Amino acid sequence: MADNRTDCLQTCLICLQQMMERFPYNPPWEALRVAIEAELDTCETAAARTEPKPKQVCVCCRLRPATLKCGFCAQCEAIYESLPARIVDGRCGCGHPARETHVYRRRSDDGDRMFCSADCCAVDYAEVMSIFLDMWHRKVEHA
Amino acid sequence: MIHTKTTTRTMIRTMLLTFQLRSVVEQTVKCETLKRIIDERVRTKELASFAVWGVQREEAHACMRIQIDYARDTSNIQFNGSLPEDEYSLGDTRQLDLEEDEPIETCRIWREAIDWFVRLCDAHDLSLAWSVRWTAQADRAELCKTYGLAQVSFTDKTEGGPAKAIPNSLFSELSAMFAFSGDMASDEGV
Repeated sequence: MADNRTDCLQTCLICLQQMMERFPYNPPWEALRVAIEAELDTCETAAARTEPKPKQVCVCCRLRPATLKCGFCAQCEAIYESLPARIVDGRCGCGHPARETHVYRRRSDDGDRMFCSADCCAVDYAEVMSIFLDMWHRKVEHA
Repeated sequence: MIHTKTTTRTMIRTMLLTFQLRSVVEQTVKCETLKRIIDERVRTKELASFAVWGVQREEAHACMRIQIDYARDTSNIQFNGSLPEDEYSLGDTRQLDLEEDEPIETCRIWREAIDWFVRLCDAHDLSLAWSVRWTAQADRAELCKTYGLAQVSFTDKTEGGPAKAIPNSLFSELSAMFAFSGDMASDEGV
């Protein structure tokens, strides 16, 4: 999902964080970390707004056409807000470690739910919308 | 001061809740009377629920019931600043009308679920209708007279069919129950 530039920046950030843990109190490294994180955010935002390949279906609802490079349609992207993985400390609510450069958050009044990948979002979407998806698939098959 | 803060907090929450309910109406039946009922009867806690039905030949095969539980407000909206003793607010929320194009957030899960509901009704050639239920404290006869309402005449076929509740992600007071008839679930007879 991530492009080469994002991968390089992510690798660089991990190396830098390891260096900072081993040799703390070095202000230039902190400034560099902030700069890389800012650059990474720019990459992720730009990547998310790029048009995907035609005829690709949304990786979440698996019905609508994907309109974003991350593979989501606009509606699913609105439900599952994308956040940088580092802010959830590498692990999210579904129990898996973060697998991608970002995680997804679905808002809930009794506590937000975090998902580590588009696959986990798809599982959640299928569970929440199960009644509609069952009816829709039955109708489509019947037609 | 505490009373003023509580009043202001309640008014803002009621306004946002009203906006959420109006957006449900706008996404489904788009009826101005129902919007007016929401505007006027949520703040007085007289509207218990409203339902949007998918109807065909006097039979309702799909139902979306929006339930309002006024006692269940678990929000943690707090105001950190302290308001002065002589600060007053409007007693009438209608005077705090929101601009139509103001970007107020509504529950995205509900938006998606309601979109599915409308799409399914459309796919099964069901026309949308609505109904309301009043709370026990409301003067039902008077309210029905005010808004020109009559007893629902169609048959509810959704009882015993598949159903699912979807809570609102922004307001714990709100829940939506979606139900379909057995006929619609098996795609026979609708």
